[in-house]
Amino acid sequence: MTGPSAPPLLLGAALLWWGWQGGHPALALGLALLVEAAPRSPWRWHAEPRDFHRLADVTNLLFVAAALVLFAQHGARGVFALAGWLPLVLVPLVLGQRLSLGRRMPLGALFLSLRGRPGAPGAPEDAGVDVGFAYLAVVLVAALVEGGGPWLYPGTAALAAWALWAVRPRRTRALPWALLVLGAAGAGLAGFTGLQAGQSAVEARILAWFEQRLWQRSDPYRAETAIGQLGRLKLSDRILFHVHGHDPAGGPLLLRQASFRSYRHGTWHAPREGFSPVDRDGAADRWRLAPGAAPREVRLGIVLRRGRGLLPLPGDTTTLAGLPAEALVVNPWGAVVARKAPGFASVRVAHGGGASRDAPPGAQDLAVPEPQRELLAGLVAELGLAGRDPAEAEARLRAFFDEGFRYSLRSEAAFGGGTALARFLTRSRAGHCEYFATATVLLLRAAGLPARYATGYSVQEYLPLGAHVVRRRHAHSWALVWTGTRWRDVDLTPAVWVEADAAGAPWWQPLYDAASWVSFGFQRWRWAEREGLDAEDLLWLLPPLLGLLIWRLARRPLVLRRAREAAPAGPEAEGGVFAGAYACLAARLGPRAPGETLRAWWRRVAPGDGSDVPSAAVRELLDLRYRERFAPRGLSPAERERLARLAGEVERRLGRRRGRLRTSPGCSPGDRARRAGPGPRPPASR
Amino acid sequence: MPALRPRLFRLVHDASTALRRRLTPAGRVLAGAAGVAGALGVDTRQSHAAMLFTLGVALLLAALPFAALFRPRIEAMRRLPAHATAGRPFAYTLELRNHSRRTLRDLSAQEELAARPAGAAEWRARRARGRAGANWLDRAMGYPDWVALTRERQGAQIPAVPVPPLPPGGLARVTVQARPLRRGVLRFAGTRIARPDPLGLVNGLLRTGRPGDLVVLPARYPCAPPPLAGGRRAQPGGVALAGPVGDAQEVMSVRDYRPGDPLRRIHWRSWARTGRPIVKELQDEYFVRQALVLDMATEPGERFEAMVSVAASHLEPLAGPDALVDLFLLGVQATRLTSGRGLGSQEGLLAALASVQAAPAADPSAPRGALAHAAQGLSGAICVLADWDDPRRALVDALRGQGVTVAALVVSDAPDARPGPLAPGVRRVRAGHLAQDLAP
Repeated sequence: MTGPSAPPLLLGAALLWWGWQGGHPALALGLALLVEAAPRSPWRWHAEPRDFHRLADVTNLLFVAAALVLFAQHGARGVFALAGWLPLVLVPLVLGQRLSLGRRMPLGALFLSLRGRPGAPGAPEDAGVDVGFAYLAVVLVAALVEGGGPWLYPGTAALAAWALWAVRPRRTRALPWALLVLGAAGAGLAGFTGLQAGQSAVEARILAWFEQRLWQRSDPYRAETAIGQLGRLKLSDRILFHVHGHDPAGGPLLLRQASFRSYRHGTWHAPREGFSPVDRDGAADRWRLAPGAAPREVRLGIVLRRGRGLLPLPGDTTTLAGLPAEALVVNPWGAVVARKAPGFASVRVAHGGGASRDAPPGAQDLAVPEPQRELLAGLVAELGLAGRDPAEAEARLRAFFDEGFRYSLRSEAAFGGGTALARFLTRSRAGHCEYFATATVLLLRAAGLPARYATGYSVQEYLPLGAHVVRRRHAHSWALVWTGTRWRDVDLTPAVWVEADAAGAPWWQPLYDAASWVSFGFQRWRWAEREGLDAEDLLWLLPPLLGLLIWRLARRPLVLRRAREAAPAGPEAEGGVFAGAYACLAARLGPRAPGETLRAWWRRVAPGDGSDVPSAAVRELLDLRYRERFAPRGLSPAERERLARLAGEVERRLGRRRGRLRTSPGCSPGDRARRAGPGPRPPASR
Repeated sequence: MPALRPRLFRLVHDASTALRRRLTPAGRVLAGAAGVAGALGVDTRQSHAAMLFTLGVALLLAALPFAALFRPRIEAMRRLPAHATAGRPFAYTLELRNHSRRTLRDLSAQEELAARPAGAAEWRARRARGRAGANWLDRAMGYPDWVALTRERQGAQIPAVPVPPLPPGGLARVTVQARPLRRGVLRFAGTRIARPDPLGLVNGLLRTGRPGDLVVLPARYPCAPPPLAGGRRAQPGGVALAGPVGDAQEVMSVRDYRPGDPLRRIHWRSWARTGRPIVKELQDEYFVRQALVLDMATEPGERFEAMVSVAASHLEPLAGPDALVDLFLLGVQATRLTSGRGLGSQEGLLAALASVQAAPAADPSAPRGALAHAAQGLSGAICVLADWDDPRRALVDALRGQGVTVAALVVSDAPDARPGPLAPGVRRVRAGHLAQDLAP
C-alpha cells in the first residue's frame, strides 16, 4: 500500500486557506513555502525507517506538549484549539517525507504496532505511505475549526475537489465528474444546515430541562441545599483558586459569594433586585466596595471562565485591587460579579475592618418558615435565646451544637414525620454545613435576631507550595447575623468538617495539586502578558521544529540532486568504473526503461549464445555492482579491483566495435580517462 | 474473556479487510477525515468541522451507487507454476477475459486465498510460544499474534495488480507476484476484480475465477554433501520396480508364489507347466541406499520448520545417480518414502516434506525398532533431530550398530545455542541461522 500523492501546490494552497481562516496568514505563508519548496529542493534526506520513527516520536511529543498547553489555557475547548494548530504541529512529518529520498513515510512511523520485528514471517512489507492527503485533511479541519464566514464551505469544498480531481480514475470525464462533485457538495451543505437546525432544536429542549433542575450555585438569587437528600455527598477535589497572605492564626477565612433571605423546602432565595456598579478607587483595576480602612490584605488567584463570575470575598471587604475588569457590580445581598475580566485575575483584597457591603436587615431577615416555627420556638425557649444580644446568642448556639451534634456528609433515610431540618435538630443531630447554617439562621431569627444564609468557601488548606488552596469541596455555608451596625459571620459547623471532607482524597492528590499549581502559574503568566490568544502564542513551537529538521538533515548524508536536464538518474549519471561498462552495454543493447532495475534490464536485453557480449562477465559485474550499492559493508578491496577489471573487460570487448554502433556518451577512451580520476562516492540510483 | 478475544479479532479483521477492499486509499482518507471532523463538529456552534463531515459523507454516498452497479462479466484463469518455495517470491500469469459489451478500464485484480481464520486454541498455542507486538498493549491483547497466524494460514502475500483496459471479448494477461510465507498447499479461492467509482473513492467489487492449489516446498539452503558411506548393501528380497542397473539378475531357483511377491518375478513357463503360480528367486540385489530421517516428535513452530528445511536441503546432496533415498518420517509411527532409480522423484519427497506436521505427542524412542529393522539395507543416514537426548542418542547408536554411517544434525532454537559438533558425527545448527550453519 503506498497511497496516492498530493498534487503540486495543493498543500500550499490549503495552508494559505488555513492561515486566512485562522487569522495567521504570515505563519501559513511560511509553512506553505516550506511544504511546497521541499519536493523541489535539490537537497534530499537519506532517511532510514528509524529516522522517520524518531521524527514521528518527536512530533508526538510536540503534540502532547501543545495539547497540555492548549488544554490548560482553554479547558475543554482546548480540543478545538489543538485541532486548529495541528497543521503547525504536524508539519515536520510532511517536510520529512517530502525531503526524503523515497518520498514515502513508513507505516511504522505512524503506527507503533507496526514497528520492529522486520522480516517477521507473515508481516507485510512496509512500502510506506504518502501522508500528503492525510495532512490536507488535517489542514482543512483546522481551517474549519478556526474559520467562519460565507466562504468557508465553498473554499473547503473547492480544496477537496482539487484533491479528488488528482485521484480520479482515468476513465472519468471532466463534465460528469464536475456535476457529481457539485451535487455532492450541495448535499453536504444541506446536510450541515440540517445538522445545525437539529442541534438547535435538541439544545433548546435540554437547556429548558437544565434550567429547571440543575441551576445552582452560580445564581446569586437562589441556593438549593442538599438538605433532605439521601446518601453521601460526593465533593470534588478540584482546586478553584489560591489564596496568598492569609494568616491561619486568625482562624479560617470565609469567602462569601452570596447571601440569601428566605428559606422554603430546602432552598434559600434572595429577592431579585438588580446589581449596581461598583466605583473605581483611583485606578482602572481598583474598586471600592465599602468605605473605611482595612487592616488585612489577602491575594486571590482566581480563574474567571469567559472573563466573568461571582467573586468569593470576605464579608468585610473594602477594596479590590489588580482586577482589570470592564465592570464590577454588586447586589444588595453582597454578591459581587466581575464582567469582561481577564481569564485569570490575581486580586488583592483588603478586609478585616468590619465594613459591610450588604443592605441592612428587613422583615424578611426575621421570617421563619411555617413548618419549622413551632420546633424552633421550643428550642429558643429551651436555650434561652430570646432577648439575647448576637454575641450571647452565638455562644449559646455554639454550645448547643457542640454538645450533641456531629458533622456528617451522609444522610440516612428517616422514618416518621417532620422536615429534614426537624429531624436534624431533634433526632439525627448529624449533618453537613447546610444543616448547621440553616438551623443557625432560623434559630437566630426565631430569637428575634436578623439573620441571613451565606454561601461561599472556607479557606483552610495550606499547600506547602506557598499558598492556601480552595477546592470545590471547601464550598461552605454559614449564617450572617446583624449586630446592629453590620452583618457578622457566624459559622457553627463543627471544625472537623474539613478533615471529614478531605478523608476521601485519592492517593494521587499531591500529583494533581502540583499539576494544578503549574497550571495556575501558567495562567497567571499568560494573562499577565496579553489579553487574547494570538497566532504568535504558538510560534514558540516553530523553533524546536525547525531545529529538529536541521539537526536531522545535518546528521544524515545529504545528496545534491543534479538538475534533471543535466543528466538522467542512474549509473550513467554517477561516474565510476561501472558507468563506462554500462554506457557501452546500453549503447549496444539499449538503455534501461525508466524505473527498471539493472537486473531486470539485463534479463530483458541479455543476448543469446554466439553474441560477442561477455554475458558471464556482465552477470558477475552486475552482482558486484549490486553488492557495491546495497550491501551494508560494500565491497572489499579485492572485490573492488575485480569490479574494475570486469568493467574494463566489458568496455574493451564492446568498445572495439564502437565504430559500428550508435554513439553513446561515456563509452569512449576519453570518457574512461575522465572517470579514472578521483571523485566522491556516487549518490543513490537504482 | 480469552475465548471471546479471537472472535472479536475476527470481527475487527473482517471489518477492516472489507473496508480496505471497498474503499480506495483516497476514500479511506476521506472517510477518516469525515469521522474526525464529525467528532470535532458534534457541536455545530463550537466549530464548523461538521462541514467536512457532511461533505465527506455526501461524496461517499454519491460514489456508492456507481460501486454497487459494477457488474461486469469477467472470466479469470491463473497459470500457476508446478510448485513454489517458501519465502521465495514467484510470479505467475493471470488471464482475464471480458465477456461484457463495453471496454473495462481502471480495473485491478486481487487474488484471494482460502484459509480458515485462526481459532482460539491455535492462538493460545502461538502465544504460549512467544508473543508478538511492538508495544505492551499489542502483546497483552494478542491481536498481532492472531493476525500473523491468520496470514500464515493464508500462506502467501499477493498484492493487487492493475489490469490493462479490457475491450469487449478481449483478453489481458497480467503477471502476479506472490511471496509464500510458509510451506504447504496454497489454496486459491478466486479472484476479486475491483474498479473505483468516477470519484475514485469507493470500489465496485466482483468475485470471479476458480479455486486452485499450489504446493509450496520447504525453504532449502545450500549445504555440503554429507560424509556418508557410499558402499552398496544387499537389499533382501530386492527392491520392487527399482531399475537394477549394473547387476546381473541371475535366477537362483524357483518357488511357489507367496502373497506380496512382485509380478515381474513370476516364472511364466513354470506356471504354465505346473498350473500354479511359481516365482523366480534371484541373486541378491545391491544398491547404494541412503536415508534421511526427520524427527517429528517436537512442538510445531520455528524449530520444526527449520528441521524440515534442513531435511529438504539435504535431499539433493543425498540423491546420487544410482542411489536410492529413503525419507523416514518419525512421528507416532515411522513412515518410509523412497525415491531414486525410477522409484519416484526428489520433488515427490519435497512435496511430502511440504506437508509434514509436527507430532508433539509422539515418543521419540517409539519408532526406533521400525527404523532399526529397515537399517539392514542402508548405506548411510542423515538424521535431523529436535534434541540430543537419550532416546535420540539411542536411535543413532542403533543405526550405527547396524553398520550404517550416520550424520546427525540437531536443530536448536535456544537463543544462546552455538553451532558446532556435539558428538562424533553429530552437529548442532541454529534454527534462525540455517543459511550460515549449513553453508558448505
